Amino acid sequence: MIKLEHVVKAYGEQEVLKDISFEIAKGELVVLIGPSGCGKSTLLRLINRMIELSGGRILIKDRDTRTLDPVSLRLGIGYVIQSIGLFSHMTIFENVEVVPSLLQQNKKLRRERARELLDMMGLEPAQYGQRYPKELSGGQQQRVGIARAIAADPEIMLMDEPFSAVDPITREQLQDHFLGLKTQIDKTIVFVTHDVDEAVKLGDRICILNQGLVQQIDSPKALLHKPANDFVASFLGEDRELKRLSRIPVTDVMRSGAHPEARTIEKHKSAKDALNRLLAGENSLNVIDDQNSIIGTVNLQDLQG
Amino acid sequence: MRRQGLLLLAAWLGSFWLFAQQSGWKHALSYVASKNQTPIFERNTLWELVWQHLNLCLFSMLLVMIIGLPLALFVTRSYGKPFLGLVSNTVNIGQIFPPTAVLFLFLPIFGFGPTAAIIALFIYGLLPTVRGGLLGLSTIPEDQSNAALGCGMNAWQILWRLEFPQALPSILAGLRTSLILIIATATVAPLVGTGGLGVPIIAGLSTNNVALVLEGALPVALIAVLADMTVRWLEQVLVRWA
Ligand SMILES: Nc1ncnc2c1ncn2[C@@H]1O[C@H](COP(=O)(O)OP(=O)(O)OP(=O)(O)O)[C@@H](O)[C@H]1O
Ligand SMILES: [Mg+2]
Repeated sequence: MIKLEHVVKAYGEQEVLKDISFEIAKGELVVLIGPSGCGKSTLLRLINRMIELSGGRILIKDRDTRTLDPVSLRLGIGYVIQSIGLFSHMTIFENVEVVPSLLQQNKKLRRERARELLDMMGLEPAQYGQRYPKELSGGQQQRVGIARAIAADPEIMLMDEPFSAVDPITREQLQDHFLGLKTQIDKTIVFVTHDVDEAVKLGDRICILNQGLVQQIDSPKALLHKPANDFVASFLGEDRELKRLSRIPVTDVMRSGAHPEARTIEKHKSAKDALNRLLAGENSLNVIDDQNSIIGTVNLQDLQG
Repeated sequence: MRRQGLLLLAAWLGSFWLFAQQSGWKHALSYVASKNQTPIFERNTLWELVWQHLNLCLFSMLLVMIIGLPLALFVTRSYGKPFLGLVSNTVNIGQIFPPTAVLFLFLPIFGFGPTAAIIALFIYGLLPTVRGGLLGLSTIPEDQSNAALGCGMNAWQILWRLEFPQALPSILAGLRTSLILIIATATVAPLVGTGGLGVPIIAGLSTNNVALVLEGALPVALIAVLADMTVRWLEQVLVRWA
């Protein structure tokens, strides 16, 4: 869907991106992560041609973006900017309907769509639709920003730290919400974050950037289990095995059978949840399904390796 | 907001009714006039003077808008940036001179009559509008311009959907200042042989007749205050988001 080939971006003397190549498949969510100033936002802005390449090329659906009209390119790409950037003179409805109105979609339909999206983002349309952005909290504004980017149903979404302006609890809610959403909307997404846990939780693959180069790009599990170099290892943190376990469902590590005296854990929990319980003193845990019948068992040895 | 609008409308109608009461003014002003002086300007009725005044203001204000706003727009575009300094300096100069000086400067070009007065008022009133436009159009929040560009607006759409509405409060504030300035300054128009409410004022000043001065000054003050309130009301109606 999106293919980057030897992408270079320089501001004057400073080469922010030196040689970036990777490919993003249709329907995939790739997380870009790296230290502040490593060029994550720059890379996003190169994809929708807010800024121009210094070298290399970017292909979207096999077409070189430089051959496309930048305005129609951007109309087809949902973009959530790092600083939210809601239009302060427009109501929440009008903000969400911006791209559909640029595309001259029917007024009634686009209002209906806006209601649907606000609802989906957990904002009651009747309560918030007619308000102005300054009458919303930071977290609510971010959700409107996401709704605005999805409104015209673009195939590709670029999301620049979309959950940065909220407290950890709201953030987690938004992430869960977004994961649910992701399975419904089937979009190709490039997602920027600072937060390793967020990357591990959301990404199909994670791309770690530093010093203008891709340090490693891989699935969260592979990345956490086998960091390619010291930078990646230290960036992911000493607790990367725990993070890896958080991505694995407990059903992936359990053995068949049942332990006669063990307590139970539900099957949708992660291996990290199981570890937590095991460290708290349980010898084994029986995994149960929605009907409360035991489908397997897990102990500390099962979690190793 | 609606009620305020209706009140303003009533105030305007009431004022015009008042300006039409020629004999009433004569009666009232006779209390301040001295014995052997005329209490009211005889050659024109107050009603006529008010209309002459408003005409002067209207035409110069139209010029201010037609020229000032596009000027501000032009020098805030990327291709007009080089002229930014030139324009803001030139516009400043128009205001450094006292209004009578501006009037006389244009006398040789346009001769006596309303054209000279309108041009002079236009030059004098241009600054606040251009300033307001420049301020508004050059302080669009960067995150919003980025969002506008990023969601696929072309330059024209960015202007109409983002920049113009965002700049509107400053533009209206500038227009309001220009308007008040022009209404007040138009009282010197008789110096180049034009009518308006300045006529009784200048006649009164040269003959030491307070009544005549008041006949011109009171309506000017009333019109200026009402114009100010009307544009402020408009600001509230048009800018509900701020
Ligand atoms: N318009 C510009 N002119 C010059 N340098 C720029 C410009 N935009 C960005 N840079 C530089 O490019 C580098 C990368 O910026 P970018 O915004 O892509 O970083 P980032 O990875 O998104 O950082 P953060 O996590 O803080 O958002 C920074 O060093 C920044 O100073
Ligand atoms: Mg950034």
